Amino acid sequence: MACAIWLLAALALTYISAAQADFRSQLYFSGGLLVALFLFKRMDASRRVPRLFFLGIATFIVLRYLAWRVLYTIEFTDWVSFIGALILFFAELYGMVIFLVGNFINASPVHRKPAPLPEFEQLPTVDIFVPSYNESTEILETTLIAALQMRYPAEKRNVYLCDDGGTDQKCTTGDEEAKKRARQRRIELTALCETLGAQYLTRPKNKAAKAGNLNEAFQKTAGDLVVIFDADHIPTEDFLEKTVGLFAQDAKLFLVQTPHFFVNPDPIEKNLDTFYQMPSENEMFYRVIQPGLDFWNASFFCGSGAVMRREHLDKTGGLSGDTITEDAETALTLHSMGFNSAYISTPLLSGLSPETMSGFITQRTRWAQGMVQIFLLKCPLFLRGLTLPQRLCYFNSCFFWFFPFSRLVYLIAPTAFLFFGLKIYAANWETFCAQVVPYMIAVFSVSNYLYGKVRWAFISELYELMQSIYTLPAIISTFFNPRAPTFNVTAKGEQLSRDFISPLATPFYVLALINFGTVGTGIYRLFHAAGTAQVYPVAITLFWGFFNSVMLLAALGALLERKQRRATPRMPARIPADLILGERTIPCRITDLSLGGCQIALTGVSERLFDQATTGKLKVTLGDEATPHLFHLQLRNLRDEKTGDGLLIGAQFVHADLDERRAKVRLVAGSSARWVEFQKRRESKMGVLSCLVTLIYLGIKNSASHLAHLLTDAGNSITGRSRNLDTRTLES
Amino acid sequence: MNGSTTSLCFRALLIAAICAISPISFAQLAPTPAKTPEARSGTPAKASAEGREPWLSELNQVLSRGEQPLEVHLSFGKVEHLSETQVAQGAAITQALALRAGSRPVHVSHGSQVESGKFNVLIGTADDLKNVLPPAEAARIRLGHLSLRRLPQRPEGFLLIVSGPTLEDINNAIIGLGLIRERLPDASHAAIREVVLPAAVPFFRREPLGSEGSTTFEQLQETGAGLTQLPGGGVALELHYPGYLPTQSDALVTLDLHFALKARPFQSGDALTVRLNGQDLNVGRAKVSVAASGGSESSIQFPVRFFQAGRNVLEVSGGGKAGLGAANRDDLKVFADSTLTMPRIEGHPALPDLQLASRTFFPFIGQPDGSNLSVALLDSQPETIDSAWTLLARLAQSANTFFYAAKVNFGVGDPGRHRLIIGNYAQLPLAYQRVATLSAFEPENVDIPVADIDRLVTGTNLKQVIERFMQRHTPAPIPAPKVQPTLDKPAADPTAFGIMAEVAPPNDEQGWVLIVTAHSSKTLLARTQSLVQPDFWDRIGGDMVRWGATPDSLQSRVPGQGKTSHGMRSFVEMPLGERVGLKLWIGLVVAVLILAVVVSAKVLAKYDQMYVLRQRRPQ
Repeated sequence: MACAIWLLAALALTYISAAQADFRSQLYFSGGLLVALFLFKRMDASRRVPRLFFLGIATFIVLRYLAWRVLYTIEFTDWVSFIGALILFFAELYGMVIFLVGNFINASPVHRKPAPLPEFEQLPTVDIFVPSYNESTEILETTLIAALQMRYPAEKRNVYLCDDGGTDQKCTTGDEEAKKRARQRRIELTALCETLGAQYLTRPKNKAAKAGNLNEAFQKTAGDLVVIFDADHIPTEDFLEKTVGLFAQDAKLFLVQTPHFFVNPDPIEKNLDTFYQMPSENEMFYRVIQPGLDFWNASFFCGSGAVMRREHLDKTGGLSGDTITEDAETALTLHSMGFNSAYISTPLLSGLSPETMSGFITQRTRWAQGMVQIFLLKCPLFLRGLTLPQRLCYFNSCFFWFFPFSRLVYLIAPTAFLFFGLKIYAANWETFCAQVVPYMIAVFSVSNYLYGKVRWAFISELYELMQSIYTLPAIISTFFNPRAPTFNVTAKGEQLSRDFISPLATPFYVLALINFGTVGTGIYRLFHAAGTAQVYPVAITLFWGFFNSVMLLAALGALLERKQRRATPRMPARIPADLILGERTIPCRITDLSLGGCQIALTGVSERLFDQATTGKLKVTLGDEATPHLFHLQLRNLRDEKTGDGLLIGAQFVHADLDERRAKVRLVAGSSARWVEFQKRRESKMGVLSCLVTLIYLGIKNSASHLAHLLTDAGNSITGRSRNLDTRTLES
Repeated sequence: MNGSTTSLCFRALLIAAICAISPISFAQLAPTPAKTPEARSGTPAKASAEGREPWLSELNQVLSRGEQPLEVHLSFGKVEHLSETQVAQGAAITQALALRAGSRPVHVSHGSQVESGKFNVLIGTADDLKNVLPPAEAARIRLGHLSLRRLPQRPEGFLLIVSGPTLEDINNAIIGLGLIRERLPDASHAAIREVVLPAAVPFFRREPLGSEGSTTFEQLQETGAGLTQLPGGGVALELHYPGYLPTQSDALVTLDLHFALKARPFQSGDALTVRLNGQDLNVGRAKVSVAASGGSESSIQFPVRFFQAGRNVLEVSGGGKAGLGAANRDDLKVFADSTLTMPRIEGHPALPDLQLASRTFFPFIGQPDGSNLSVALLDSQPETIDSAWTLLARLAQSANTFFYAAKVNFGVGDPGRHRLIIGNYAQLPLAYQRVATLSAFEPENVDIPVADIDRLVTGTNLKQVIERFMQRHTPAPIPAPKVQPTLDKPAADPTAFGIMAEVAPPNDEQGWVLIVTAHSSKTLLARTQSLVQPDFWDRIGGDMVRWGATPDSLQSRVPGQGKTSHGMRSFVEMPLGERVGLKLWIGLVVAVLILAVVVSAKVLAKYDQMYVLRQRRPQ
């Protein structure tokens, strides 16, 4: 009944939102709505009613804009302009749909508390699977060590390495070199598993990619719960403690998903150098959207960092394999069967982002294709068994991936008007002020309200822009042939020995040239339109073109791949320790930390103490253990930080034995509290203007470097000194 | 010359010819040396009484007599569709007739037959008209030919024949007809051998005032300033203030009056009243002195802004507080050497300004002969042609000249000239359709300059499609009592309006454009005939005008002075066209928003319970 009334109210709101007032009334009315919006925005966002009013008012403003757009701004003057107007409208419509469904999803996000584990006897048995394809032994070793160190009774859990790089098929392939590598890999990893206490699993054939690999592993095991970690996803010690308990509360629970927390910057963060200041791109999804989905019982499996109940999973025959995003597809299928999911927003694993733009684009293209496959093949809006909110949630998750269309339209729309004179948006200055400005303010306010802590303004636009060029063709091909896409493994753990221009940069040069040309034309037209009303549409579109230019500059900056010697960059830490130099023990503090090394801060110590020292030991107490652990160090560099932490020592871990390696994994990646703290450090609500200024600064600075690099390369090629643009060293 | 026919060679020596036009007034301008020759003039009434055909010299009186619009009916013989040349001829003839009709509105029609009750004009070569003209008259046509006669068996109607053996002869006859300041002969027929115009083409009816310079009243009269005797004594001068000079100037105009009383000297108790456009120039206090040449003289100064663009009436009479006695009023003589001295006037009037255009036809006028003007008829519908002629007749009266050299074409005209584009809306070029839109009169749009109107409606949008659909699929409402459309509310039937707009030249074109349009040619004709009447015409202003059937329906858009531009509409319009009061709608929005939030909270609470239930479902 309430749902029916709600639906009626929504329909009534939609209809009355379409009423058109004269522009002055509309201006005052919009002003009033915005004042109300800001009043509710200032109220506690966790209180439901003010939150609903805030979202309701914003929704109304957007509905009003949508009605005005539909009724008044798409005009038929000539076919070319009309088609252009429709394309622009659909690009905007996409954004509005995402906005409206996003408001629905985020109406009441859930931040679950972990449930306590049951008594030992009732503890479910857990099978932990680490699927692998071509990852290095070092990466796998770390993940397996961490998986084995999760706090959970050893007799109740098993860790499996599911290796698709050493299958019978690969070990008997015709290519001698590949065969040799596969056999060697199988031997090495079998030994590693034996050493660590894990079990090595492989299979005869590489069939159905990751889903096939795991499904075959499921058949060989029988634990109550199934945990999946990607090869580079290192779980924290409390992973099982915080997830398994939820299964005891709800018999229909099939999934507990946790966030993917990355300890290295993605290529955009790395190349623009924003990793330590700006929340990561995926935080918006894992810290805001997934909790929102969880309220509607629609949080979904993300392929790793998740616990699943085997009993329910078996009902679908394991992981679904119709699409290349088997994770979301499986969750969708199980939701449609009436099972539940849960989401824990505490980061309980640390993983690696792709380091290069190429890897990043490969990963995102797979996600985009997979979600579009689900959209087309499973059609969540009409899939039997889902609740209405679940339909909307899955629809949103799939539909989001059509952003490349919208993004590219926004990129070329100013050119259509300023350069080709197409009438693609019938509005004037007054209606722009009365309709468009309130709409944009409402959209930015909601974005800031919902995602402000985890996403700077315009960063979504930058990420989407950078993906759009390459994902759009993939989406289009998927659209026409939904079963064609195949699973591509994302390369991770790459190290870049020096700066180079990404081979993906070329289309962005073209787009930048078009956009700069458009801005130039706009400036010319602005001067010619001075004193006439044409000045307004030209000025507005010019600003839009300017914004696109800023985006493209930032994109070009991000396409200059910066060198990265460390596979995992140091993450900030505040861990008390003792540094042992010979006979002397000096209290110190670990200020940053990675699997490769750490930085130690000492106060009140003279630099001369280290004149002869090249090695040392670090004594650290992990958690509430009584016995501290010793870590052997190779001292690398020394810096006297006059104003801050005192003497800073850069050191590299030198493992003495497996125990020390295990302890190091615990030290570096074992604590979820450290990841929470790091996330909180990066939280900062930046104003829209500050974000724009920052983006302009980053864009100009990094694109200038890009240009300088390009010119240097051009100079080198003229003088005969060749340089391979995408040479990079793959290590680890 | 034989009998009632005269052969003329027009030379535009207008100064010599003008005396014959206003014998009454000239008699008042006493002591100028040339004594006005007594005109051998008759009147149509006299002609009727004498049982003769009216003379051509009586044409002005024939045309200007009456309060109702002059109905002119043109006939080109048995021609079904007029050629561009014929339309151009018709345009020139109607202008000439309009100038001769004074300020009387002219309605023009055309057809193959003459129409009783109208002033008919037959145009064509002798061959073209041979089936219409009596053989004797046809035989008389050897040069450009003008003849005026009563319609056979229809004494209330007149027939003017404009003919000649060749097109050139006809054109000579037409130009001869348009030389208003030349006296037509006291004969019912005239043959025009040649028309020689001066190199600098004059304004055919009345020269405009110039900037910086003195002109005697005699010179003013010679250049067309209409001089009439005031009923109560004194004189009135009709002056033409040109459109290209701004009126917003404080520069001082000096009027040096030389006058006398017939019976006695002007005394200190006597007063002189000088009015410009009815406004007293307050010269009762002006110093009056004795003129060296006899009589009295007085010098009056007033600012240029007392003038209005176009027609101005300067009245000099006795009167005022200490005015002349009633018996003495007729005694006031104003001498022809009285002088009007114009100051230097800087600047240009702001454009677009339809009031200026309606009063002077500036800026479209360009040259006084119309050689900078292109008249574009969007189609060849008879109503469109009649509309164009009707409008041109009125514009010629405002401009005080005759645009015989204007290009008249079907199509969109010559972009190298100023253009008058007239025709039905559907035929308008897209760029001008975007300008000539009724949405420009919406309260929120009235302050948008006409040059920017095109951004309001540039094509068909979904709302318009819905409106059309609703109009087609909803029963026609019971006709409401006829209410005049108010200025801030669109009329019920937008197709009933005429629109006139003055548009600045686009970048690649040179001239200004005057657009006159309506939904159909028939509406266009009806609206044009209304527009040229003083009740409508005198209300024209701003950059765009729309009007319906009544003078009150006329609305001029004057950006910046929109009556409702700072107000708000009291209603909103729903998608299907229904209107809801603004306050009611706001209340509705608030109510539905609150309802939506309350229901959403209920729905969320239900999901809260489901969420809790999910956590209480142990194995």
